[in-house]
Amino acid sequence: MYEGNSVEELDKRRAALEIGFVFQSPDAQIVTDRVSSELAFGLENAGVPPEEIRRRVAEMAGFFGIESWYHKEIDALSGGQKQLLNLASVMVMNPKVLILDEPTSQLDPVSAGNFISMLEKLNRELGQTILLTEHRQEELFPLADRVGLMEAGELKAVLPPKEMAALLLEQNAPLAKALPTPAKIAWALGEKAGLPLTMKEGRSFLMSLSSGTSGEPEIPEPLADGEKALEAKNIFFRYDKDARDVLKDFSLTLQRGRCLALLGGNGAGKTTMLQVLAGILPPYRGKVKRQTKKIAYLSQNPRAVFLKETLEEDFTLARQDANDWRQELSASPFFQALVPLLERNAMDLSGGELQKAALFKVMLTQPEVILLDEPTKGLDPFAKEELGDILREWTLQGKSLLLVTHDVEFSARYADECAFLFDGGIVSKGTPRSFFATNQFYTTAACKMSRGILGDAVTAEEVIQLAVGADC
Amino acid sequence: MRNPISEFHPLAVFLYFMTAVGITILWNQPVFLAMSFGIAFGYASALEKGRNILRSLVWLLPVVLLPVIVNPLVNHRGNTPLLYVNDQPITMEAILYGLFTGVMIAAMLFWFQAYSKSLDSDGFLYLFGKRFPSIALMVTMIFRFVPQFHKSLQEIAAVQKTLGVSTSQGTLKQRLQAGGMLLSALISITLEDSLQTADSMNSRGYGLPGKTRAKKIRFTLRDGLLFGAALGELLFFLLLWGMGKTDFYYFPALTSTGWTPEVIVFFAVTCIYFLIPIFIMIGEEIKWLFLKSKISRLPIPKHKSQP
Amino acid sequence: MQLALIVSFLLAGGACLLFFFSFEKRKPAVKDILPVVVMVAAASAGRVIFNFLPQIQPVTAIVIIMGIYCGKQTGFLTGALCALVSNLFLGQGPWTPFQMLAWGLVGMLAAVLAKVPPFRKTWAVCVYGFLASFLYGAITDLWTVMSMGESLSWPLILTAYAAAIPFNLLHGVGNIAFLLLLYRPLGNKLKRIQEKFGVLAC
Repeated sequence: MYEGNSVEELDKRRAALEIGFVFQSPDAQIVTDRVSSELAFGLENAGVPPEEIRRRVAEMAGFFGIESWYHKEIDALSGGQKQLLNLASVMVMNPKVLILDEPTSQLDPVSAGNFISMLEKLNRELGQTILLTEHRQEELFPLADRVGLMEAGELKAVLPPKEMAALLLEQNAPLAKALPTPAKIAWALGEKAGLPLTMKEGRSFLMSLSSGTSGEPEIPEPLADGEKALEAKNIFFRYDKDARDVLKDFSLTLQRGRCLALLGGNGAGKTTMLQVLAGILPPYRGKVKRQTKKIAYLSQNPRAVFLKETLEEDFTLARQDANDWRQELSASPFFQALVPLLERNAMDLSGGELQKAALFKVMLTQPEVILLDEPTKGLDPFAKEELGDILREWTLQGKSLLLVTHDVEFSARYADECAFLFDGGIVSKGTPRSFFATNQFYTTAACKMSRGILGDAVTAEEVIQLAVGADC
Repeated sequence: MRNPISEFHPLAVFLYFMTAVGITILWNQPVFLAMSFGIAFGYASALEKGRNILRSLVWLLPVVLLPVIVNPLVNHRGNTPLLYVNDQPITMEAILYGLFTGVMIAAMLFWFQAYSKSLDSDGFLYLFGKRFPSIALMVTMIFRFVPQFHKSLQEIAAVQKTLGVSTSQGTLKQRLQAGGMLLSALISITLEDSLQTADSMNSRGYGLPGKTRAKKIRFTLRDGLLFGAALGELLFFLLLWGMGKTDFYYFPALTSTGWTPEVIVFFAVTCIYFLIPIFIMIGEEIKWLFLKSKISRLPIPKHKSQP
Repeated sequence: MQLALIVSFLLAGGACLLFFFSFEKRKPAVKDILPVVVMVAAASAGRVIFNFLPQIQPVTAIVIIMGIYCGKQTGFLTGALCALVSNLFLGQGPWTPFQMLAWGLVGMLAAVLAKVPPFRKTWAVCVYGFLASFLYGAITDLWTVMSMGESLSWPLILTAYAAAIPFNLLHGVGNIAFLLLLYRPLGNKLKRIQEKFGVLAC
């Protein structure tokens, strides 16, 4: 229903003008090749006179801070800029309602933060009505006026965020996992009403609990050096003779049977680094020592793994002996969920299923080292958990994993070691505990919440333990 | 070098070059063709980088030489046989005709090259988009898709290389098959994404009647002058051409209506017309030399930083 | 007097414009334009993938496939746009309208033939692909032939076309290879996407 009419009856022109949509993929929803023409696209279709189009575009470009890249080609924009452009090209049409479908799922945390604060600004300064679906709850949940809960296509409840958080935790619903960390910690510590949602609320909650006594900071034991699976020594790489160095004196050792998570900002050269280690790009100085030739590389978009019409054909392409892979598939506790999907095309799978199928196909080529680029991108919390379990299983089998990621929570939980890539080289490295405990910004929500109040906690579980310990 | 013609209205630029190409094709008088070729080559070279001029000269040679060779072999008219091949005369007229056909083709290609450098795809789409909005939109969308395609292709190729599918290893058949699989995977992904593009277009009102265009290039006085010059030049030529004043025959012997006053005037006018871009270029250079002394700014000292 | 060149130039260009006109008049919906946009972009990217083979490109094969699966109009449109766009990238020339017409006709003819079911068999499509290279060559070589002006004669035309045979053969063999590789997979993908666009009802 929209203003008393059912959506089906809504006339096409009104629907286009009054309801604005922003979709998941920053790339796929852009139509033209320039920022300027993209902003004008909707208004042109609506038949707005040229003078007014220019006025409205100018105004919106100012509001969104787009002036400096107004004349650029779309190809030259970052993912975050593209998604802001998508929002701006909808906002120029002055919609009454703005509907967003997981708009930040494909963005890194910094761009996602920018996008969310822009939404907040629209809502606060212009009173824009916003309807949004999203997995990324940490920042968005506290901003909402009301939160709806959907299950199996049915709207179960619509409540203010604090009450919704309490309801989910009360029912111990699976969705409760996605709630902001402060709420989860407070609930576990016995708080029932007025759950803290933001970091600020969370910190004052912890402060009120403990009398400032900090738990004993544990000194994490450094991991013993194992067998080296892959070693990069003083690597230099650039794309072109006259280009700048993307990797500068980069050195890294990956131990056998370990999972190493590499974090870093945008443009730090993470993807390039993986491709150099995989042997896809050659360094112009330095050497990569590989103990094995069986190195697999998985890019950000798991669809790049599939070449055929059905999963079945693709798996057969990776391992000729169909009986062989079928056996492995049904024997694996993680992958057997793929059995009913074998006839499907990879493009028709959900994000989690797709990631799982991609991992299985990679596994069929029996790699010893697996390099993963942003494996958690676009995954919901359950799919992430399953991914983590698969990765853990693989390290136990002796495979060595290197993942490049923005996902600090995931790295804190599943990696054996974490490292930070900046300006083409590694600047810090350590176990997740020591790594995140010393980081100020690039760290987990639990760590941000408890820093200086409760020891060196990195995960929500640790904060709860420490808080309970401090209470006694 | 900066190209001042590219700052004119696309319609004026288009007509300017099409007139130049049209006259070059239709008037086969040798002196005129040499002039047209010289100016077109000079103009195209001024817009190109040094190495490209050299390359276009190398590529020019066969274009001019081919008609010189082919023409006398198939065309045996002409009064002045130079030698006989298979009892067929090779005439001087046929060789000359071939030579100037080559010069005409070369001149035409250089005019087109200068045109491509003067009317970029934006200008072309502006012209085209008025009558053909959907086609123009499609071309814009293709421009957007091509670089995106190349990025996705690099991603797919990188992943598949580690999974054993690569166009750089194996037998020719394997490499071809790998290429085919990569291309069809690429198309698969992009077609899938285009569903979201479709949603985005529909939700922003694509296909509603009464579409407007935000971009408007003003047709100013100087655009009018260039447009008028091109139209006048074209009409002048068509008039003389229709009256047979510009006729020039290579066969049976080189004959023409001679340098009548009309032809001399037209030749001079055309020469000036062809040189318009060069005049504007020189004019702008002088203007900026003059302006620079007025817009003087203190140089900001820069320290040298390590690259 | 190279009137023939001007006339053929205007005829080829006019034919393409006439087609574009009829396309615009139909008020194309999103589902009519997106597959074409993707395929034309793919054709140009395909030139990059296969650049380990000189002179060989998948454009003709993709145009034929679009004609067979999406009909006459789309076939012509894909071909004409492939030529137009690649010339917008590489620089326009007198060959632009001829290439547009040639690729357009190759796509359109494929659609006409595909009305007869046996023609949709892979081997038949490959035969057509091979012959299409000669149709394409005949039209695109027209401007070089026409520029010969007064020497234009049957021996000249035959000589010019005979000289082009090796290039056309190479092009034709390339078409067969690409049709063998792409005909079925791309066809399936196009069918899939048409169904999905049908659900969208745009």
